[in-house]
Amino acid sequence: MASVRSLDNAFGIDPNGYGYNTNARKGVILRNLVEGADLVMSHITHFYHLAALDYINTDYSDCPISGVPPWSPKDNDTATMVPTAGGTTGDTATTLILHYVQALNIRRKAHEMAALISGKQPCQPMLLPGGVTSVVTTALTSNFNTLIGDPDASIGDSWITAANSGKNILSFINYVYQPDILLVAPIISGFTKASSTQGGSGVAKYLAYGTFPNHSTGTLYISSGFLDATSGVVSPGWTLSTFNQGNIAEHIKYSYYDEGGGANTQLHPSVGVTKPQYGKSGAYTWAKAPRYNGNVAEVGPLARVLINYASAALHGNTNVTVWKDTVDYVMNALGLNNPSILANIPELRSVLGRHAARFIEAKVIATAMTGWLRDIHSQPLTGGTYTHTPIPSGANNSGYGLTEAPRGALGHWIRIAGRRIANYQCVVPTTWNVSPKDDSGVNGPIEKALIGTPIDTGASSAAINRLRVGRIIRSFDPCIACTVHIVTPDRKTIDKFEVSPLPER
Amino acid sequence: MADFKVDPVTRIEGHLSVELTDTGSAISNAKCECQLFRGFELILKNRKPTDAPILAQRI
Repeated sequence: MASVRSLDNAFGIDPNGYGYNTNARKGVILRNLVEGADLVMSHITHFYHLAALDYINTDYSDCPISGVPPWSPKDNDTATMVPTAGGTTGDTATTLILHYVQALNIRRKAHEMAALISGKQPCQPMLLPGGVTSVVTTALTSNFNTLIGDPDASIGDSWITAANSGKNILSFINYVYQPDILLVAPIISGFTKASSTQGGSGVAKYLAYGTFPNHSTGTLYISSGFLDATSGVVSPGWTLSTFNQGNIAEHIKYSYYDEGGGANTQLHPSVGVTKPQYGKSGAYTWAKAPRYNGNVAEVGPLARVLINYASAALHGNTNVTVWKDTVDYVMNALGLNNPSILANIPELRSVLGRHAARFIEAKVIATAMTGWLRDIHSQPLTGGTYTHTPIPSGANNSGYGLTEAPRGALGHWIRIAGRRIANYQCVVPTTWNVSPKDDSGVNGPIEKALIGTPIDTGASSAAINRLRVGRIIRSFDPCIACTVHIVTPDRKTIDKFEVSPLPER
Repeated sequence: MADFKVDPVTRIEGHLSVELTDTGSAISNAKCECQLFRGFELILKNRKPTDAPILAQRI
């Protein structure tokens, strides 16, 4: 999405980099629906399949996954898990484990929902500069409605029921995901909210580029901004400033990249340089260290939720009140409302906050998507009804595309010369979160969240410490360069591949 | 002062290792190590601009 938006920007379609296209408004909506379905899929997957096992005790006799690798054996710390030590039975844990299986089916449905438009998930072949290749048909909207659980505005919420929680996305979110997060959160909040002493808070500075441009106004449904939330008090204390992509720079002092005598570091991505130098003295990672106006910043669902909340709470922005309403609902359910919700919002700068934010966002976006689907039918027939608009055959342009991937702010920067890509830079969400120290020696968000975490020294300390570290890291939902490893028992080299750029033409 | 390493960090997407220094009671330093070079910036160089969305979405 960021890549195609960088072309939209380079070819003059949207000067702001979000692919907003007044000549192909249906294309804007279809892109939003695909991006929304992907976000909902990702958050459900993260909670049930990647993170929840950190909070479920699997050491009980009738555990349905007892002895099933890779979950058993695993690191357990029964004093901080569901059911907690002294709990009566494994009923709660069993419920959550069975929902793990149900969530596999729901995430498949979310993928299917996006693929109705994109043709394939992930990696959508329907994206192209100027819009999408897909067209709107009654079969598409009907099938999409069935999967998300929204039959028709006139029928109301009748498809969103507990009985339908295995059938459609909104029923699952409302009747399974919501009670599950509210069941787990109070148990884990004792040691994962910001005021606890168990670590995981991080840098308390948050960045969002924003996304989901409205088809008719271009207003972003997820707002952008940079939030300094280092104060323990929201108002006065927190400051929310306007986002400007020009303020981004990547530091590489501690990364395996050639600094070119200082010329290659702290560069804006539009002129960024990628020159590998593995084993560079002092360096310890392939990730660069992006900074915003020199500030380290956490990106992701928590950043988006806090920025949108602050926009509503501090600046009275009514476009984002749906965020405030959903956050308030969760805060009340968690009992984080005394003396007021606002006084407790800083508690969300934590492991608890990251998990709660994913649920809040999944609910807000899935609900919004039903409205976007209806917008397709309300489009006027003259002008802006298309899903795609032809682009000028660009020659020598530069551009950037911005969005919010499920894991956070994502931007691509492109420079075109002689109808070819002269320079391309991706700054992906996890690069912000997993970043090493910057040129001034300031740690990245995950590093900062780990520093200060207490170390257990008891009999099971190795497993408990691994679990604590894992819980903190996994709350960020990292996504890092991955590959397939093929290993023979005798470590024989089977083949070698070299990937090189195309030669200059 | 002791060091311990979590490698690999499991149940995440991709490969990550963290090296931790602890004082005996708390973690005093942490290093996040991404162990693989991604290189899409180099793969895309000199290609047609319209190749970018198709290749970059594989990240």
